[in-house]
Amino acid sequence: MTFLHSKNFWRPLILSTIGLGAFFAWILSALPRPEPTQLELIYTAVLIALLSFDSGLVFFRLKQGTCPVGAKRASTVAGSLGIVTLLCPACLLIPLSLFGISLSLSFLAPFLPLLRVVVMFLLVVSTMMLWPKKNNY
Amino acid sequence: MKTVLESPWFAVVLAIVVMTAGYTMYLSKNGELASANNYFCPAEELCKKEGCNGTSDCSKSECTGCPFCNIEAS
Repeated sequence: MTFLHSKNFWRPLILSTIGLGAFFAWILSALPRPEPTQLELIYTAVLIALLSFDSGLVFFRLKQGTCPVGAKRASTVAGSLGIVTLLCPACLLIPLSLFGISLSLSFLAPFLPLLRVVVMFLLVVSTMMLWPKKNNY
Repeated sequence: MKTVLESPWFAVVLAIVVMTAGYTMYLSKNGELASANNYFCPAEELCKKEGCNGTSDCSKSECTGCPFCNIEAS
């Protein structure tokens, strides 16, 4: 596993960990929401770890010229969905005012547990797809 | 069509669709989908009237995720 010895892997991984860690910490603390549960904290930590690992793999494989586009897109989708799933049911009931459009995400509230499973599933699949093949390293 | 079926993402999308369908059926069976609530707040009516700072029954620990625990009484 030579990617573990490559700075093309470690640099984006470390930068992503710092950036995502700060961003998700802000989401969990700054938004008007109840105290995060232990399960939510564990979920957030795993989410940050997988997203950072995926970003490291994406940059490593981009440098190799072998990055699968589908896996890169799936990681982005999973990351965006991950942010939504960190919003609590209460936050989803508060309408978002976006460019003058009042949008309520309350319809998503019952699906939060499912969305969290889908996010983890997508991230695990993306990691498997992004994992460098034997003949690529 | 053949390329779509052979793509590994086809299985992933299929799995997500099956999970969503199963979960939606589970929610409908329990009646949770109709109410669109998955929070626990035994004192919801009181929290609505009093606001969450008004009474200990509406404290965040008592009402997990209750929307009225983040809104001041009007």
